[in-house]
Amino acid sequence: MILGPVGDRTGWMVEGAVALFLVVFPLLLGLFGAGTDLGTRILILGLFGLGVDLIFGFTGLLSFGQAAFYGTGGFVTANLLIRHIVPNTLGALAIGTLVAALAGALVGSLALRQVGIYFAMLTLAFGQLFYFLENSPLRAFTGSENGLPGVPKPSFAFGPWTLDGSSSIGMYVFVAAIYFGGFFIARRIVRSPFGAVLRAIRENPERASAVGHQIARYKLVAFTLAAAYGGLAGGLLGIFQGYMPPEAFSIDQSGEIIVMTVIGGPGTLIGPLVGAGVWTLLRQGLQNVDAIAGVWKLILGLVFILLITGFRRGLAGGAIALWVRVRPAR
Amino acid sequence: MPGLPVHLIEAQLLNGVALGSILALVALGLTIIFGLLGFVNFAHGGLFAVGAYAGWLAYTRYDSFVLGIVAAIAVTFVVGIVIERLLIRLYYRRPKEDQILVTFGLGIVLVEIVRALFTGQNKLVPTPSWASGAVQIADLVYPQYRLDVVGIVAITLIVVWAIIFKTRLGLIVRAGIDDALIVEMLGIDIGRAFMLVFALGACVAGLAGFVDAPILALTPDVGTAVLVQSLVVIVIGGVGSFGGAIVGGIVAGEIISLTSVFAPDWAQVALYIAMALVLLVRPQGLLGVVGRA
Amino acid sequence: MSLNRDRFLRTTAGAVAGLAAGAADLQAASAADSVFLGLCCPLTGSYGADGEDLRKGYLLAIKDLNAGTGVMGQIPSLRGKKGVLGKQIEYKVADTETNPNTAVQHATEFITQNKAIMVTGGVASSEVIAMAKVAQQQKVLFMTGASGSNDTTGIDCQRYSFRSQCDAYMVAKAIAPILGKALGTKRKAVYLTPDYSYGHSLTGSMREFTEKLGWTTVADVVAPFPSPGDFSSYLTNIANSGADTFVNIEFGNDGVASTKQAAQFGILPKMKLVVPNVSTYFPDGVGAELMAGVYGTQEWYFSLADRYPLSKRFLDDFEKMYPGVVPRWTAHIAYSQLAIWADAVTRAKTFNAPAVIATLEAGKPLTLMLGPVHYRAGDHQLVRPVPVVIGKSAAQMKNKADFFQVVDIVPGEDVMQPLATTSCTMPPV
Repeated sequence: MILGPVGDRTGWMVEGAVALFLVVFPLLLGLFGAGTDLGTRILILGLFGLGVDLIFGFTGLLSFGQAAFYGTGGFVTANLLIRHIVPNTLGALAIGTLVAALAGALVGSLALRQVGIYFAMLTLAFGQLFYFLENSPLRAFTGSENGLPGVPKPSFAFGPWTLDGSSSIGMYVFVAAIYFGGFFIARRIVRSPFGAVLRAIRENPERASAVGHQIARYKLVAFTLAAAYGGLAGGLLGIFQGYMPPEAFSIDQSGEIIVMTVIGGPGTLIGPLVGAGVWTLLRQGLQNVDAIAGVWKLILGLVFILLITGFRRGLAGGAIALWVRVRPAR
Repeated sequence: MPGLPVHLIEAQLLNGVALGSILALVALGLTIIFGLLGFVNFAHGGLFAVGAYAGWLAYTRYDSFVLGIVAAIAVTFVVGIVIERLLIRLYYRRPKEDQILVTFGLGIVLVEIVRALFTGQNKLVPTPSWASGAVQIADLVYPQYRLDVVGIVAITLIVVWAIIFKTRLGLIVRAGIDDALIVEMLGIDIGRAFMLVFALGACVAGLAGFVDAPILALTPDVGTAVLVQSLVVIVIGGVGSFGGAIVGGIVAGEIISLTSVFAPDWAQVALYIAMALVLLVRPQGLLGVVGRA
Repeated sequence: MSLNRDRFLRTTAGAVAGLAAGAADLQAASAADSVFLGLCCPLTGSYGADGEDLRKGYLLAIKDLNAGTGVMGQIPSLRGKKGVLGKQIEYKVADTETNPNTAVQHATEFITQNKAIMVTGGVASSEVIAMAKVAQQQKVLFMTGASGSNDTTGIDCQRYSFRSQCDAYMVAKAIAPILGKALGTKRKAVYLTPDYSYGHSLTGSMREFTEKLGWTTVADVVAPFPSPGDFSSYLTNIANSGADTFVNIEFGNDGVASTKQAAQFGILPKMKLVVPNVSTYFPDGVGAELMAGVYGTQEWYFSLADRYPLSKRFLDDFEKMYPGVVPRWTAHIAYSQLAIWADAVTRAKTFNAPAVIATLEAGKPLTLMLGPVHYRAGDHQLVRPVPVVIGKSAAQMKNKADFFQVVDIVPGEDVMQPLATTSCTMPPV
């Protein structure tokens, strides 16, 4: 019921376009003098954002605490790999994602008792709670302000070929494959009846409820899924950097992913990826120009405000709307 | 710690009140806007930073603490007016999430402007000479300046209360909240009233920024921490209630002070647990009114 | 299924193209007449001022290495040569924001994108420890910036990382006897400790050596790190502790804020202040009035120019390059680390990391700004003297940076932590 129709013609075109983009991305980056690693970083944020888009773009829930799950998944995965409790990379990632999802279910069951501003503030409170728990009482597992260095790189054998995670391109392929998987699933979710109810909740919760849907349950499932995406992305961050940073839990991280989703376009799934790309590349690019190095965040902040005020659909959303308008009618 | 002296608890209780009054002052600006306009202002931290730096500039250039206060209030008042006219008034009827988002973005912009003008290095704001030194209260020693801040907070609260409940402006705004249509039909410019209230909230945030500056290490990022803290205070005390800002501030101050005695690791965690509990059990806060948000 | 095959071919094509581009890059790097150094300095954040000083030291060192001038030109193995092994040094400075995550990102970028032959920097031990681990993983040399935690050459020691600052153990062992003689052996001390590895390290070592003298530790008040900026709750505890000596372990801006607030709380001058490790701009922020008569240590201090000819040379060259700026000890660390590295590379006759590591571990002394120094193989801690200082009163200051008088220069060999107790197990090369 959650996963929707497979094998519908328009569906394949979107997945295909995304797959093509993932293949071409490193080359595009190279053209602009950026490394493949930057692309990997953008994909990880895009994956994190898939979850955020599910709850914000599709269900209308604004959460300022998503970093809690990004961090949780990241540190669980990192710990499992560093301490050799689960030496298998995919296994550690799966467990990290699961723990993050459980955390999401727990936080969601409490936070979703409220709506609107109170919900936003509750998520902020929980996000901060996770941050301070990570920083002090749980420091044995998180290395506190040091973070957790020494996360091993994965390596996968496919018959005669080996995908080596310690090379930039190898890591990119690994992360891109997981991003694609995450995107595929997210697409199925939003195009399913479940996704339709989420959209109904965003439009008009009272009506959705009146029609007979148990909106509390839908919201909780969506919130848990978002936490899972966050946890998976966090796990990948630790593996990619070989180091799991405590900032993954910070409120700045929670704020950033929201800004990226809004800039890219909420409700489009690829919005967060676009937003992450714009944010990361602008940051990188501007920092190299001495004159305006310090103001990259100011520029992005202004862009963010402009988009919310006048162009609510964001960059990707606007592009999609334009494409829908100009394509020939079927 | 070996054997807790009784007067340590007393000292921490006093510290909690002083700390709490600072927190209350900082949260007051947020509560004014939230309480009167029903508008969530996530740019509050940014306004705090703007006020702190404006005050610092005046204070260090003219060697006058009072001039610093005036500068902090004046600059943030103007910034508040500009923001309200350009941006905020487009959002009164938009969903709360959009209000949060746009002011969040605004907060980032303000902090970055401050950073661009003043760099990220710490600025040290010295305590004014008439308020430095410590004061003896029974067998407790406490910094003079922090006690003076309690006085400043009290004065600010009285002034703000007078503006809102004893002036025509306040009357218009309070009426406008209850029924904007009727107020407009009476020929009163509700838009101007809203603008002034927003600017009032902004300049109280700016005042708090400068008053708090001698105590903190001043950097542009001080705004984010302050925003989060202010949210905690108004949630605990009650959104939209002045009494709530004070009560919330003092409760938060006491939580931090007392936990630091027994379990310093958990001081911040305790604060957020309290915030979450209040939101779950009594979302309007200790002194808040239901239906405000 | 046709779609899967399509995608697979495209992915492979993309991977091959990427690899080809990467390989071309590598060839370009080794053919050049230069080598790349990655400099990671916190230019913003809590330790921004120290990071700026660190940066200045690096730039002077690289200038001297490339031109064969200054202190570098006085080193026997480098005398008469320009560059290192004939190659000029290219570099880039990245702002770590006093944040281990940012530091790690920059260090990794320097290694993977810029093909750095060595990475150096960091001021907070958390940044340094994180970067050292990256360097170990990537098998690239890392010369630490400032790092005072015992863990950097203790439990977190790395084969590819070398630390020159005197660690907490050395500082405490050097200063304790002097404190005992000057302040007496029956004191009651209260500590303000930042809650991270460096803080606990220094407090632990200070307690070990002062308690051996006869001091009592009344309380260890731990404040969160990063600090909230407002130390009132912690200072209230300290003010009411009944101690007569306040040992402030806080560093950088936190050190300044907490000391000033302590004065506001009446803790100073009622209690005697001890600052075991004085951060670079601490006295400027706190003021001579509070610093007078305060005992502490400084990794290096400019008045040592009177005692060591190379210190004088360093001081003069620095003031020539940066008129009006007096170098602090972070600049000294930057310069000496690059000097030690360049000397080892030259004697090893290669940039290859394992060979340079072996040369460093062989421990042949090199005379620098504090006399002969050498690295100890077991934990990669530099064996070097510890300058103990006392704060001057405003009247005694000869210029606006002359905060200290050097009381003693304690030889390194006397205060090194016994290897067995460091918890360091060196990974293989």
